[in-house]
Amino acid sequence: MAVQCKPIPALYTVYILRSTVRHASLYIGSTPHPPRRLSQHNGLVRGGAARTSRNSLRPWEMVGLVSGFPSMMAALKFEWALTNPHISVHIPSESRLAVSTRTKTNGRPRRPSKSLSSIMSNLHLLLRVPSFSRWPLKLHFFNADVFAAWQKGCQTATEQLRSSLVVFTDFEPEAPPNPGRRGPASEGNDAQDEGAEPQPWGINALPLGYEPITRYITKGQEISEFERQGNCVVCREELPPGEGLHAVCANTGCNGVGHLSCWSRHLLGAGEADNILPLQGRCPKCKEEVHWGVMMTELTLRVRGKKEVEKLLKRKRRRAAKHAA
Amino acid sequence: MAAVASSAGMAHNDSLIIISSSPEFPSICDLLPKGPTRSAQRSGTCSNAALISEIAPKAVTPAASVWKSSHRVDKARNGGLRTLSPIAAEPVEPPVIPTVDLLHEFPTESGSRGLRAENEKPRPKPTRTRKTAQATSRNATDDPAMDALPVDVPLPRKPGRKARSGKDGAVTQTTLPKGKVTKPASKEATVKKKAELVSKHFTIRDSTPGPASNPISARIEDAPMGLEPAMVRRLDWTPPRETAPAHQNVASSTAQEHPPSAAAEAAQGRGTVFGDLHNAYGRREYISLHTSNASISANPDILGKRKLVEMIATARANEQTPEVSPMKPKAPKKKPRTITELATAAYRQPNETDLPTVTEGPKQDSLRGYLETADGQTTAGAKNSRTRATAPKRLTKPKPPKKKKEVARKPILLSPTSAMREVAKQDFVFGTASQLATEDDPVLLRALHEAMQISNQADSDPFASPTPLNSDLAIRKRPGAGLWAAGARYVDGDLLDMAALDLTNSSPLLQDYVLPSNGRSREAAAVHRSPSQRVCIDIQSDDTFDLTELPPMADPKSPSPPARPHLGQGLPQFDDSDPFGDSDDWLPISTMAPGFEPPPSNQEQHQLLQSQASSPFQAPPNAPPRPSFELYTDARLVKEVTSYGFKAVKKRTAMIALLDQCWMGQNKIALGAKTTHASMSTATKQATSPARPRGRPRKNSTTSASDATEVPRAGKRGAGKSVPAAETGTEAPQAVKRLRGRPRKDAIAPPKKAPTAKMPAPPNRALSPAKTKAPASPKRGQSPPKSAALLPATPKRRKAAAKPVVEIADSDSDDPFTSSPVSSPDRQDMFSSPEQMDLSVTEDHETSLIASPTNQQMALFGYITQAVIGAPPSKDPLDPSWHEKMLMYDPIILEDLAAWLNSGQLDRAGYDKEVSPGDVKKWCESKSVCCLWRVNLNGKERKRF
Repeated sequence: MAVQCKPIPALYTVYILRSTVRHASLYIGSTPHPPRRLSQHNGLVRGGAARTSRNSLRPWEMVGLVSGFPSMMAALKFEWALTNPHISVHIPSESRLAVSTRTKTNGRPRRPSKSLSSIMSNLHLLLRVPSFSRWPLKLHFFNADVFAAWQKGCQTATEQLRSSLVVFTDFEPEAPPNPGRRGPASEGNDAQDEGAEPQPWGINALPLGYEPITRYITKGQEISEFERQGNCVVCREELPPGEGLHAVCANTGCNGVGHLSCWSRHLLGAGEADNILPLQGRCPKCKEEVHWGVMMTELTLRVRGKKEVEKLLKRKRRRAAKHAA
Repeated sequence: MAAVASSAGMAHNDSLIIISSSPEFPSICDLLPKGPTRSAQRSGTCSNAALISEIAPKAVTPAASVWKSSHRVDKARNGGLRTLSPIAAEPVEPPVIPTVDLLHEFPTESGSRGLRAENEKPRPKPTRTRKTAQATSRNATDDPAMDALPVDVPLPRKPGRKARSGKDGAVTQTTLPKGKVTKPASKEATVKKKAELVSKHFTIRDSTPGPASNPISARIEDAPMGLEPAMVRRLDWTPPRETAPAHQNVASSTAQEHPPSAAAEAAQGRGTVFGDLHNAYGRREYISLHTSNASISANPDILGKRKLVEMIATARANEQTPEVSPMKPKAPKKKPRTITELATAAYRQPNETDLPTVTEGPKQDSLRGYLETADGQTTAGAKNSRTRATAPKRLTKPKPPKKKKEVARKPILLSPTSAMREVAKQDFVFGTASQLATEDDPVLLRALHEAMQISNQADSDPFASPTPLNSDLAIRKRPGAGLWAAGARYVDGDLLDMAALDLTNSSPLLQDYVLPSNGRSREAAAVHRSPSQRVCIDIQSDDTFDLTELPPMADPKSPSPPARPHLGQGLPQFDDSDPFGDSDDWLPISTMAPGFEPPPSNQEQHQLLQSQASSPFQAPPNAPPRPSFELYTDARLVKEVTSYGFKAVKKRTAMIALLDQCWMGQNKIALGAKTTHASMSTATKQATSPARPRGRPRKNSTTSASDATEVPRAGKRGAGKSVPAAETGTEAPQAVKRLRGRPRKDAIAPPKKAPTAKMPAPPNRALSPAKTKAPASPKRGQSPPKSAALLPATPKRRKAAAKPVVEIADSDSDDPFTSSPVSSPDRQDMFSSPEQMDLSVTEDHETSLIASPTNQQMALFGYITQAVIGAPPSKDPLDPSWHEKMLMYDPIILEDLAAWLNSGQLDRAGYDKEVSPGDVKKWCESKSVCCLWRVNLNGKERKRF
């Protein structure tokens, strides 16, 4: 296509901003860099939204966010849908929660007032809507109250989220330093993210770059560089180097490489044959769980993000050199 | 030489300064412009030295003379002012000699004066030489150059005069040249005191032109000023004289003045002998003097002589410095203006841009200048006489303001018919005329617009006309008729057909014909300019003949065709678009027509004039062919004619004839139930002419009643005046043309026509055309009723007349306009395009979004999924397949994916229908595939994902 796609960003989030002064004041935004964006909202840096510019409502805090958006466009879509749940076309009419009772001067339905509970319920709805349900999203909560509201919303929801959706909680460390973890399946690579450093918490603890998957990226780079693809782990056919898109198993120590379509077919399995996007599955070679989002991140980085890879690997090498010294 | 001389002069000055102990002259530069004016006495020495320095190189005056002069100056200071001048004269003499030489060498440079001086040289030279000889006797140094020149008899007289004038000279009897010089010295002496005051004025002037020019100008001025009459005049004209002497003090006081003065003296001595020469010179050089100063007659000889001599001297001086020469030519150029013909002056001036001052005037004059030149000549002449007497610069300066004033006057002058005629006589571009007319005169602007429209129409008309003519006449009546007959008919056909033609011919045929015809017509117009009158006359004659000749009731076709051609020819000729030789045939008729004033060259101007002053031209009322039009006033007739698109015809008979024919054409249309044609034509016509629509709508509304009356009249007229034939001819061709022409209109028009024609009784016609018009063009919808109104006008002549006339004009005008193909097709296109546009665009963005997929959609989704997954993976990592894109979470452009799916991928999957982007979007959303429209909400194509 004319438009060249970028590699999947390391982090792109849709966040819920709440005024620490007035908890009823809520704002939904998207950013690849939550700390920077928060400082903008708080007026520490230029670029804050007008709706968050009132000093009486500052400072703001990010009480929760959704991460893992595979692209800026995806994040914007999700943001808009969460901001306008009453008219978003991604929400089937039968399951729409937000109903506008008023109309704007231009005749369009007026956005219903937001509350934390409505946001949580709509967030829950959107996460299970077909348009976004198969995106590699992760949920983060940094405030106990908000997390409680989320839980409450989950209880009232008519449908359950997909089991693979991971919800992280990283509350302010003072009371309980231990970050609670929710979510049925959080293993493998996610463990690294969770392992989070104790000191920074919340948005500050979020990895903004590709560092968490550096080893994975390095492996993929080596495989492609030294043409060690071997045969497709799924179809067993030879993988000609430089031809086509070859996904690499994300698990350390596993050199399983296969056609992209083969991987997807394998991960989707028979039950989800009519789906396009796999969520996760087990590597046919190492039998360990792999997450499609992570694999695609590595693949797009390897194919499209030469610059990012070099930048990332240079750092690593320097560090390694230092450590060696 | 000059440089050396100047250097020498500098040294002299310094030495002189030291001797004279005059602190005022620090440098030559300062001295030249300012020094002379301040103090004639003191400066006299220094300035003389400076002048000597300039002149010296040629004369190579020895330093000793300078010293002598300086000593004399000192003596003069002690003795008296008068002595100074003679002292100065000594150095001056040598420079004069070189100047003469220079004149011989460079006759052309000096300009008219220089030339004259050259011509005169032989005679004046001897005078000078005599003087010089005298001077030589006393001053050996100065003579050598002078000696070369022949010596003339008049010497004795000169000294006598010198003695007169130069009582001063008498004081310095020792040196005759001093006596010669004394006259200027006397001038100086008298002037000097005043000179200081005057000098300031001159100083300003001098300062501006520059040091070199100043002396020259001063010299020139001195020459006219310093002469004998100055004595009397000086009393009267103190300030100008003062100015001159001041200059003399500056530049000429030392060297130049004296030689000219000496020459003048010699001339005076010879004055009787050389009176003719003086007169000739005076005339040539100083026209202003002759014109302005009549009183000088007695003295002028002396003055003229002196002036002439001085002028020669100045010319010499000028020759020394190239700058002087340009100054002189300015004056002569101005003179020719005054004398020469206005037109030539106007043309010459722009060409002659050499002198800035002079050019300014002519530039302004060139465009607007006819009137100005006439007026300005007198004023300029008077001014010139004055200014020339004073200084050339003054002459130039006063002129431009006068010119400006004149410019302001010009528009006023232009407005009257006489001015317009004059303008018409000369070749102007339209733009120039428009510029002249520009701001203030709304009438002119209107006239311009009308003329432009008419011209355009005219061009278009001939083009359009041929097609209808051929189609109508040739096809029906005389397929094999000769070109002449066809052309003549076609002309008629144009008028008559125009309504019909507009409808039918709007389409391709007209355009095709028009393009070639335009070129022809233009060329023809260029070739045949004179015929404008012819055309008008022809029309009149034709009209008259037709009307008279045609049997009222019967004779439909046979009489009508000839009449038609005549009309048609006449009309196009007005337009200047007759490519064919028709005009020649008609020429005799045209000659018959009496009263036209044919501006030969400028037809456009003609049109303008006619439009502006059409009423006056139209004066002669001729036999009224038809009652309705006869009663109309000339202005109304003109309006009607113009409304039809024809140029204003001067003769009323011609006007009426044209209107009748136009009316005939309309009637025919009406009879043939071809109101639609009229409506079509009117619509197009209206589009072309903005002003017309206003009147028409009103008329339409008002004329409805009249229309009913009109119908019977139309019948009457047709019976009476061969109208039926024309109608029949026009009708059939119209139908054919309609088919050819605008597809839409044709489709619309024919049904309308049929009903209208069938339905109506004549009164209904008006209504029907109005209806038909409305669809064609909203603006013009009104016009058709007007045509109807025209018909009825006859019975209720006056009431109907005003309205019908206008209407007729509109309808007629409509025809020519319609004939002009450009407007109508464009508009048609414009209208057509938007409709198509509307149909094309249909995409539902949001409708597809929410609705849960139906069963059909689910089936479709399955096919789409199969198609996407089943597609082979790409070999190029950077150009993944759709499936791979989706797997990598790439945003999918729905249009592209839909196009890809519709390009055979779905067929492979077993789905033989095509998929809309909306369906694709639903599928993508059901699969959590990030999808986008190609265009963002702002209507711009996305540049990033």
